[in-house]
Amino acid sequence: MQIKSYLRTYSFRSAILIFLAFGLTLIAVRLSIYAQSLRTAYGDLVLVVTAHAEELGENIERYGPAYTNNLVNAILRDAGDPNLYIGLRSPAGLTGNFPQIEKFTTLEQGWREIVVSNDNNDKPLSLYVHCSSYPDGSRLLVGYDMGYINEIKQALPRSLFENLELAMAISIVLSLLMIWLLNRHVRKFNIVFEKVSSGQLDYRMKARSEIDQFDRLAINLDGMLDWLTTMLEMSRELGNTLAHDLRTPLSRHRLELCAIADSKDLPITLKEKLESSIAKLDELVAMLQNILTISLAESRNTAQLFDEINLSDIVESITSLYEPIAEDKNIDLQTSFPAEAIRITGDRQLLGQAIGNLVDNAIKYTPEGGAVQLELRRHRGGVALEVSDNGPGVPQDMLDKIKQRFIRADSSRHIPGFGIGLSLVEAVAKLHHGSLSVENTPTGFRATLQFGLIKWH
Amino acid sequence: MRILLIEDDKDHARFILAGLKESGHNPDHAADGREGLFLATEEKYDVMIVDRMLPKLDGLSIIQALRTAGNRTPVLILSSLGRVEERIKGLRFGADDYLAKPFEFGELLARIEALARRGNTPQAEQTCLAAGELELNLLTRVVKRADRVIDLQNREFQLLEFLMRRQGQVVTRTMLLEGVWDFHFIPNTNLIDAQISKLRQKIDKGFAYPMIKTVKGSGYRLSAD
Repeated sequence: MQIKSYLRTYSFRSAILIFLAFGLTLIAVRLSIYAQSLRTAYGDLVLVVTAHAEELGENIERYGPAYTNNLVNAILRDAGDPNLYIGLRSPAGLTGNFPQIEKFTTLEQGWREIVVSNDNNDKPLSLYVHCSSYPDGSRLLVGYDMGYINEIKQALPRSLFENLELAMAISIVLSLLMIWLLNRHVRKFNIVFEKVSSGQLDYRMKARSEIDQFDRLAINLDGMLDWLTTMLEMSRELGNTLAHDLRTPLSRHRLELCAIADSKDLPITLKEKLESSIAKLDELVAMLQNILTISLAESRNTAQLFDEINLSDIVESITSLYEPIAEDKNIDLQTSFPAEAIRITGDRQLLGQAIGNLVDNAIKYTPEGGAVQLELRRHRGGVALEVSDNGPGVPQDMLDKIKQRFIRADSSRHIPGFGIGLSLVEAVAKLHHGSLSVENTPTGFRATLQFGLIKWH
Repeated sequence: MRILLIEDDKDHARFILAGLKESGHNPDHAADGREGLFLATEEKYDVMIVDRMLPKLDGLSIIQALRTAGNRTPVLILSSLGRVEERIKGLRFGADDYLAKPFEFGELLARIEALARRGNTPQAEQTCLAAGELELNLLTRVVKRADRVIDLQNREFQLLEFLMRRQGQVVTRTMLLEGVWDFHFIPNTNLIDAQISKLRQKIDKGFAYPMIKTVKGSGYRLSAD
């Protein structure tokens, strides 16, 4: 599995690319060297053979066969080149060291390659031969051993792929170097992305130059973040203004209702109606407040207000707050804590509200005489808070939906406040790098909040 | 009690001024920030009620200016900006309390009266609180009424301590939530009623007269008569 995933990495792919480029270049260079040396070898050979053939040819025409026969022997002796073979068939007879000359005296004029078996040697000779004939019936064969050329030809397939493993090694080193250089750039970007998504919206690349595409990328990223931050501030400002604009008339409205309700000569029935109307207004305000709190929790800027807080103390405060109403319903409210206090970085008010919502729901849905249990414990390097009740639970098909805003499990429609409650809990959990999970248990319903023991800097 | 109200909304101002006068206080009113700062600097007040969004000069700037000039008059911010972070911001600027609109007039009155008292009598380090026949010892954590020891749980003790330190004053449900549990949101006002009713079971039941009284439309008051 690990090898498979390595094969998909950028560094492996670039290593392959570099290797291919490197290897193909190596092969091309070798082919060109091969062609060059072959041409040179043939050229040298032709030069030597032509020189001897021309000299002998001139002498045959000028001095006749007898002299030339001697000249052949003299040349062979003086040259002392074991690869040079000369054969002359003239009216004066056969001379020279050309092997099995009788076989080749009928050859046509010109260049050709022939293979002959050597008299002294059992290995056949391969010769490059120039053949010429003269008016007096003489035929001259000048040949040169092609052993050197054949060596070059035979060496090619071997040398073509030689040292490719070295090329591979160099490619890997090069690709690692390249990746390292690339990563140095990319790392800076990743740091900015991590910081910004953890709530430090003012973190920037701060590129100074504009030399390459990386600088341009950094400048563009900064520009985009500036824009997003402005938009975010604007929408937060809008939320505040909206809340303000709604609250002021609601507040005025409430004041008026209260003033009427306070007048002495009001019939008691009207007074009661007014009071219930005020209570409904308060519910509306509470809903507005909850929506604002969710948007507050969802805007990660809030993390800037975080302190180190005692989570155990918040849980204890909430349970002590809810204990009397649990008692009124004859519900056993149990808590269990680890011995030492659990501290996390966060916001006491938001966490208190979230935990309060969970306990509130649990008590609401648990029938008289039931039990609600809060368990705070360390869990996988973080903290988990479980709130379980033995109420009816939530229909399985509603479980995923109940965390959404304004959704309320059908069977609980008659009890107010479920809708926004859990989405607030989830928003607060996420703000604290945590999560909310809900499940039905054999005995009821359980909500679990999980947090890492985050430290904010 | 001399009170300065800095509030630009006419309806709110009218209602608050009427309420304050009815409760026997002597309020002044400024309808914009600059006038408010002028009055606050020129006159001597026991407590000030300041809105945040004001024409000419905003509420936080007024408070900052007063605090920089050494003016220590208790300030309550009364604002439509009710989010937790706004509250923290207000207190950081030097306000003493924060109340979000819409509000109950009783809540506002209880809070400014508490602020004014806190300003007048600096709380001495006490080890024992007493209200009539009720005694609370902060060191031994023993509570007695008419010499009968009353067994209280930790939070009940804190709740009673909070009430006894403000005996004779109206204490609202949200003041109790803030003072005893340090929560600045309102989960459910029934919670405090249930807490008080449980405390009453222990403090008042079986004694000559009830000490914890319900003040309609506001909250509770502990008194020795």
